[in-house]
Amino acid sequence: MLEKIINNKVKIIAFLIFVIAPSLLSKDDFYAGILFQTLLWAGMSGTWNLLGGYAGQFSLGHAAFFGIGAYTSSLLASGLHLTPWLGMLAGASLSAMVGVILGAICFRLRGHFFSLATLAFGQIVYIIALSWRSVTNGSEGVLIMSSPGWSEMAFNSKMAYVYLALIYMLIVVGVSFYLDRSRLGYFLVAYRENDEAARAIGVNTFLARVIVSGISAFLMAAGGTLYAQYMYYIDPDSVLSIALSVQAPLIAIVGGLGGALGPVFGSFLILPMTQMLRAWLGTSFSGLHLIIYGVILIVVLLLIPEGIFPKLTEYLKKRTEKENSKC
Amino acid sequence: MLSVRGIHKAYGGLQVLTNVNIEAPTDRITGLIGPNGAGKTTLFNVITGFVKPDSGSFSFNGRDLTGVAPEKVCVYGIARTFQLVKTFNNLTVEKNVAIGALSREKTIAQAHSKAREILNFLGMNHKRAALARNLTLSDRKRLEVARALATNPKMLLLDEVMCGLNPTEINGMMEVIRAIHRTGVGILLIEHIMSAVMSLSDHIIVLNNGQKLTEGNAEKVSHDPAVIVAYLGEEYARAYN
Repeated sequence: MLEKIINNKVKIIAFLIFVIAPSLLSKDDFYAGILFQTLLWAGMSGTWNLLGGYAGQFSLGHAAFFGIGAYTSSLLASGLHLTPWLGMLAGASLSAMVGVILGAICFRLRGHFFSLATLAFGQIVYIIALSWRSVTNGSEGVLIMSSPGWSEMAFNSKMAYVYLALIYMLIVVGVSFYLDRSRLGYFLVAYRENDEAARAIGVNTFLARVIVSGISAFLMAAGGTLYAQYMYYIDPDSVLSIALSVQAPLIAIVGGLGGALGPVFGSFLILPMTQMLRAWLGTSFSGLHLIIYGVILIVVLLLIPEGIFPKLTEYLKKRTEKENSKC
Repeated sequence: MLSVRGIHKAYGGLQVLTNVNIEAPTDRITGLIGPNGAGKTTLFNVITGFVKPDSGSFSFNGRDLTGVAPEKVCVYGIARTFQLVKTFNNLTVEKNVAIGALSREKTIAQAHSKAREILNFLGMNHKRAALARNLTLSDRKRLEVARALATNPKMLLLDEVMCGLNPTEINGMMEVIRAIHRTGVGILLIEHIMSAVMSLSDHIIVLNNGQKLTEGNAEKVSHDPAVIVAYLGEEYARAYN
């Protein structure tokens, strides 16, 4: 039984490599760009999933953590010439602290009110970045000027960023797999399923959520630094917009909530699709790609509300069971 | 010994509990009965930390636990089930119980082995891989008991675990309760099914309108005129006598 599941996982990973391999072979910047976005979003969405999927705490403010990461490392680099590697650590730590404090305040709210509070929090950080001109440069944004090299986390080849994003995604997946088989993960899932019942059997659901909120904020901010280094330029709209806060849960929902690989699947489905559609239709029928994207999302969510990854594993499991019963 | 002293609780103008004093030793099965709205579940919520009483206190084995958070109350050895079952529906039976066991066990593996031990004890081992949502009501109630038991309680509070069960299932549940009690766990149970309470309980406490009406053994309580009035109304009580 366990072997079968592992077997399925191998198949799925093989499928993923299949998707990645062609892009790795082609040195085309367009595909490398898509691949970077896909891997980065797989990681970001997976990060959101730690809180939203495992604990069922539906945050709509994760762009704030992404932005905190992007701004901290970029400002430290432009102002103090600090290497983005340390900037990433600083941003992630700051973000984790904010995540813990935000959690400690907002986890007292139930259900939708938590989501609304995080939505407001995201907007507050956006407005701060926009209006605190002396530090953030306001809407003009921050330009990252660095000579290429490992120490500056700046590269001429897009493939270097692709590998960084791949490592980022793998770390997030690793953390998710850890949650699957750790006390913290068990406690989060118990909270998601029923808070009162969880507390009655000794689970400190509040503490568990505060801890994972810190972890989630930490990893999200790291993604922000990666993005900033890739773009060489950030402004409030590119790293703090509400669209980012929505996209993270969206990818996780399409892929499948509360598991390690759901968001990865969601990202590999959604990101290439949106980028390709925009490339194909963006110039001739401006806006049409968004309509098609919306229709596809609606269809997927109507047909497979539990997410693609859980559905797929279920299908593979049934098929192997059928094969086994034949022989 | 679980002892509740002078508990008052009101929601707005509604007095739910008025000066309630009860004692439930761990070597007994104590039944808690009373008409709907008598305050039985509120009393459970007070004892398990979900509801803070306006005044009064309660202690367990000499330790004052008034106002202690639910997750701490569990650590001191009090576990409960819920009137409306609150199983973790999207998790397997075994994982449900394992989460309970984590309150005492250090590792996930130990928690799972403890969970299997308890499921075995309650005769649910063959269902351990099933998702909780696919169980019958009877099994979900039993699962709640298993989950509570996994926290290794000294006192188990059961809130209508037999409600909605058929006669065979009720007998099964009564056996489970007796078996748990034999392992040295004190039981305090709320129940509306009189035949079950009467035959299970060593001692019965009757609540009515948030006050303790009377207490005693099954024989005494079932013939108490005040109890009959509370349950069936004065008219019937007069006719009965």
